[in-house]
Amino acid sequence: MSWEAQLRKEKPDIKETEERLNRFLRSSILAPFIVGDHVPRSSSQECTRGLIDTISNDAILQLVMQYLKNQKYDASLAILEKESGIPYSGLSAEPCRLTAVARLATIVSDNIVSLALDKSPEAAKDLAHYLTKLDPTSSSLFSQELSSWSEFASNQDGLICDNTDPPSLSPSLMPYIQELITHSYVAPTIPCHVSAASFERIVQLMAGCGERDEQFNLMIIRTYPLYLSPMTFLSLLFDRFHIPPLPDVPLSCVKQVIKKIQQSIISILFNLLDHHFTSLDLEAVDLLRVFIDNVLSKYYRESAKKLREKLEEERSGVDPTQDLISMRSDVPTIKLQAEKEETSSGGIRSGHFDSPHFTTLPTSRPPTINDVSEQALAHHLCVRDQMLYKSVQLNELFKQQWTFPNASVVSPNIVKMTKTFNSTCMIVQSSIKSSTLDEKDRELIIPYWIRVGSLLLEAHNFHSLFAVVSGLISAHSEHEAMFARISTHKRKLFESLKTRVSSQSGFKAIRSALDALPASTSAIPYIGIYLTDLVFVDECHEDMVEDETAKAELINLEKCALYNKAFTSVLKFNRAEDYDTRGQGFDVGIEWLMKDLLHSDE
Amino acid sequence: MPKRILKIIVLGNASVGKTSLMTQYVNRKFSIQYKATIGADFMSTEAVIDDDRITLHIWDTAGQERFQSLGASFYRGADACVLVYDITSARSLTSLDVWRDEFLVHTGGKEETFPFIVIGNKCDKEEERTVEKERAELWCKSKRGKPIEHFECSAKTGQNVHEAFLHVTKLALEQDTSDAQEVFIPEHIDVDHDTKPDQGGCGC
Repeated sequence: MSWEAQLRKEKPDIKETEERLNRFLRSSILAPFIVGDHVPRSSSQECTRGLIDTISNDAILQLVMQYLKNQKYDASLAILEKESGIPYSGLSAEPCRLTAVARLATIVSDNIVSLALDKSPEAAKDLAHYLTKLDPTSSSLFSQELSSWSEFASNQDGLICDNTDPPSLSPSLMPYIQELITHSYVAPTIPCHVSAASFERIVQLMAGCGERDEQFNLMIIRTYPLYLSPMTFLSLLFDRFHIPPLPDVPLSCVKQVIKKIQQSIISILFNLLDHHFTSLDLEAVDLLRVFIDNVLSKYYRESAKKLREKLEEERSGVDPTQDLISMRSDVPTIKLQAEKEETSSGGIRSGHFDSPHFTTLPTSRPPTINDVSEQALAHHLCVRDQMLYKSVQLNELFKQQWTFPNASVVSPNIVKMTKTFNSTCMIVQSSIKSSTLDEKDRELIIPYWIRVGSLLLEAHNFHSLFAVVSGLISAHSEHEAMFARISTHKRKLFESLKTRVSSQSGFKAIRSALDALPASTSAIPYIGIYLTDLVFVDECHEDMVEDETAKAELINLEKCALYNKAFTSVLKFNRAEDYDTRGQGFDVGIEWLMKDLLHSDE
Repeated sequence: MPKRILKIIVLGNASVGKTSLMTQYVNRKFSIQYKATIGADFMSTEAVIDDDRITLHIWDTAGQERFQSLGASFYRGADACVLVYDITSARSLTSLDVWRDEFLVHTGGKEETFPFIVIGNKCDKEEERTVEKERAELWCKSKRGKPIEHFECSAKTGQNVHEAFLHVTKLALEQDTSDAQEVFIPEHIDVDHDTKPDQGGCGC
């Protein structure tokens, strides 16, 4: 019968368990405590080697328990005494005895914590019980009736929980856990149940020794700038990393907890660089580098190396605030109408441009929008919009700052997206109104834009689609006669496009369409919707919440969650594949069109 | 008598505090229990005028002011318009001309008869004031048509907010009576399938 199977038996064979344990113990940290000739040391050597590799922590733990049970408490002491040659009953020997017990306690107490957190309260309780018996001086730590768990839950300062039920841990374990919590080692509750907390508590929730709640951590990483500067946030994380050992507990007892906390901090730092690097100012980046080089590299060399690489990679990345004009040289330009035959097959995404082609427009007349094919224009809009959209950073979306007078500094890409939207909208309108159009061109211009719109819809570019449709709607009211002359088919198409971007019911049509697309799709949302959501989140929810019992102000985590939800929607497609950018032709015809987009001032 | 529904739209530059004013009026007081249902067209509240219960739908452009996309559905069927400026920003007052014109263009409304009111928000920030009350009143008087009432309010403290909205409701009611145009506004808006209908009677 296998080890695991044996252990799972309701009434394990104590004799056999003991023997196996002894074999294991001889080669382990507990070896000094084992005496007695009933298992010859030599025979244990060969069979333990394999065991150490395969035995799980839980198995060790159960073995230790069974061993102690079997030996009874007195027997354990006797073994210890015999092994070390020190009479433990004497007061003078206290320090030595404690040292010995502490070594045993290392394994046992580490497992208490992990068992408690793995929701095996009964096993943990039993272990706590034995540990207390083994070490009478630890009774003050483990068995004092400090408070009941429920009292503890209701008296926590720095937290407001939706769920006031105490976690399902065994009450006899609580004093021990209580001690850890008092010293901020263990987060007392599940993060998603917390509706308000102080930032110190939030960091404890992020980096506790329980299972990490990645969603919660991501939410905080995205929203912390609402409350803290990057420097303060990093300082809190680093303080948590340097969590001190408990004064009354042997370091070995909390070693595992500390390790878990530190690993959580490292994971948070990786996430921070990955998702929100631009929120870090230069000072914060310096602080982070000092931490990585001076602290992290001592304890976690591999993580430090990776983190440093990540930091450098992010730093050398493209500056997201760079001017659109300087980006323009990278924007694939579009083809002219003359090449329509080559390019018109398929939609925008599959639009395929084989070779660079240089064409100049006739200089005898100003180029008109009809010099550019619908496919080419729609394709260009998609590539340009996507480039801007992917440049949008989280920190442009806080506190309605895109509406501030200095919006072009604090929310540069949002401002550019607004401008391109408005310019597209204006171009549609003005091209229809244009006095230079002859009657024949006038007939063509509305269907032209409708076709562009339907191509944008195919490409899921709701940003420009909405701009084009808005332009058409505005023009419609002024030029009803022109609209009346378009074909039934085009009119139907126009109506259908209007439905797809209708503002009815809070833009339900656009929201559902975007929600239905997987995040890997090349798509561009109309971000205005989410900007409105963000205004409501910002204005309808208080930043801080009063904690009546503690008479303190706590961070409103519900607000953070709503912010995070809107962020998720805004940025949903920003890691999707790029639109096809193989068209490399240079086109002067588009210049006049683009200059409005680039330089238009509201 | 059928339930009266009035549509009021709130216009003004970004960050003058339109949404704050609305939430102050509709919800009166912020609290942790209040969960804004985001994604609906308007906030809804009830008012009682001369023993009549009236449902107000207040429409706001929050966050999208700079997108030239406010469609016809936003303006269609409005019974009154609240123009909001910020007493600490002179530019926000001058912009009201643009907003008023925009409104009239979209609704094809008659300047002479359409009810507007003007709210100067943030009057709790007296020390930062750059727009004197007289100046705003002068702006109101310079407009043709129905006299435009001017209110100075604070969305933060709630000062005068209720009075201003009560006034505009009365104006809208008069407009609605004189202009008995049918306006279809759905009773219930369920927009964001993730969010539950809120408990506060507000559909913002």
